[in-house]
Amino acid sequence: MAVAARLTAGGRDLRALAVLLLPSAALIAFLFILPVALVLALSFTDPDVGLDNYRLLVENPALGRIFLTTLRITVVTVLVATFVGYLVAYRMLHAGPREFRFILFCLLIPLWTPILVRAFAWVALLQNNGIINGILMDLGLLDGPVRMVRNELGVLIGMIHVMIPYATLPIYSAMKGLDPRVMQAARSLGARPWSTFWRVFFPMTLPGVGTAMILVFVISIGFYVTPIVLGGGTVVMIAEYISVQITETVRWGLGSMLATVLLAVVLLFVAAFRRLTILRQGVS
Amino acid sequence: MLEIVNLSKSYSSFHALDGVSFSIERSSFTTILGPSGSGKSTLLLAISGFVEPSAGDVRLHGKSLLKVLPEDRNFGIVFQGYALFPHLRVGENVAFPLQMRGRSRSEIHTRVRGALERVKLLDLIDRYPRELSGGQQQRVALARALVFDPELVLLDEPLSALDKNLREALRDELRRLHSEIGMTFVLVTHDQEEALELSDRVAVINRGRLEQFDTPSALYETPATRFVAGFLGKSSLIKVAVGKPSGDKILLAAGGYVFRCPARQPIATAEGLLMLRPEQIRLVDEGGTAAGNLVPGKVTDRSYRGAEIVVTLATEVGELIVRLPTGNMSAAPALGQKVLASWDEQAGWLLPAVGG
Repeated sequence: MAVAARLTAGGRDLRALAVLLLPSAALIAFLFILPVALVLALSFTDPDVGLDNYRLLVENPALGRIFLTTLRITVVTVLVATFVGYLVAYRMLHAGPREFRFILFCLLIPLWTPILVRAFAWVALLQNNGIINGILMDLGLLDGPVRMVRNELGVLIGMIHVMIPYATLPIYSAMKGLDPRVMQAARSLGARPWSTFWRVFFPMTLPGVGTAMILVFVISIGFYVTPIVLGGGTVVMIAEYISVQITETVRWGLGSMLATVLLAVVLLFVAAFRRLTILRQGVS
Repeated sequence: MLEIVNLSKSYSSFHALDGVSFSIERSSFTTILGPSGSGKSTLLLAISGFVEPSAGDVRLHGKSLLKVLPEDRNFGIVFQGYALFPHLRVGENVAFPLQMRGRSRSEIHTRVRGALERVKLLDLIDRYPRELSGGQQQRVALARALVFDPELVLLDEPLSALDKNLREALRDELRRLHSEIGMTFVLVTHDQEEALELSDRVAVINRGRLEQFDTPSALYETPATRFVAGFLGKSSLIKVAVGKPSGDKILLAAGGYVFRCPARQPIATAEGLLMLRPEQIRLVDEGGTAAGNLVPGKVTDRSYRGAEIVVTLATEVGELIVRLPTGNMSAAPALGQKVLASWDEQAGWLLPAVGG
């Protein structure tokens, strides 16, 4: 009886909640979901109704190449940024308060700097007559400049730099949440530092690593400014290509088809990865 | 077997441990007892090697452990909160110390099963720690700490997170386990009942110092300091002027009354505290007579506890706490009733008035 009473009360609460949520839900639907849906719908209707745009995916090898480039750059960015992020987070965990603040400052400063500024800063550093090539040549380590911009290496350097804070912070928070007594327990049971790290600490931080990887993947795959500036037209990622279709060649159907595919890839990846991390989290 | 020698640990100006010495016998059950912040956890961490002492030594079989890393000390530790490996199953948790020692697969298999059987958890071998109750996790931690035949089993507040009934059940189990396997157990706790019930010896720590190291009965009946008297069980303390010993008794004066108590230890000071445990005092109706020490008083509080009634008396020599068994219905006095408190001349223990 009490349960029934609570259920009806719950029902009433739910109805009240729905009424309260309605305006904001409508706003989001109107301003966000509807436009996205319209753009996605374009891929089936422009210029003709049907799957013509999607056929291009198979027929036009350039599109496949662009997707492949995008995926390759994204995967490398995810792997490198997560690895570096893990190291930085590990250092933060063991740093004194002053060093901790310093590292955090170094992580946050780039986040506050506009992405365009950062991209051009990297061009200045990496170009053939830039500082890095200059130093390397002055030291006699290089005979001539190494090409580090207007190619995939430049894009990767710029993107990894942007992504490191996004990778570091979830991993750090996972590490911070661990009970240090568990590591003490491992040592008391005879584990050397190496075993304590690989058998106990590292597995326990995997949920944080998973979160970092999803975050970096989702942000990286749609990168726009950094590949344009550092790729200099030679490295085209999917976001840039979509933008060209919308604003320059005005092939909205093609552009929105690519956007739809991109969205599908992201959702599939996140769903697949979620499953993995849920397995992991189920363990922790 | 394990000696704590003049052990000190300071953090800048704070002395967490201050010259603590005692030694632990092989196969004994020793408890380190103290209130929170007394330094008992620091002592445990120093024994296990996670805290480096500022001075003093920890010796095992006569050899200093100071240069020995925690992973080489071969001590089984049950941490507060258990510190199980959340990503490993129960069986894998228990196997961990054996794997670290490079034992063979078949040996690990039999030992893990043996240890889990000992704590009655064999059927949960494939569960993850988060799927277990607090009491079960505690037993996994225990199995993990025992499975590699450590020199010493250290238990840090192992029962404090559990509810009262479970705590009592696990206390019995701990005692059974200790007598069955005959390992050396060191328990750290703030719970005096736990300490009295489980231990062969108890080290009472307060403000970083060792107050007393003795058997539970000696601590309860003949505490060395006022702190120990107050920390272990209830007692009434009567401020007395100490007279000369006559025979095997000492004469004590308080508030116009003269009491006798056994002359068991020399008291150098003229002032002292006569300690009476609640069960040592009997109540006699006003106007009645009884042998031994007598003082009149009035009942100011009574609380019913099932097996006993605890009565508080206001007397001219201070407050007295009396524990009366309820089994005999001769009935406790009512609130406000005037009674005579009496105790044997053999009972009572004299403490120095200052210090502690």
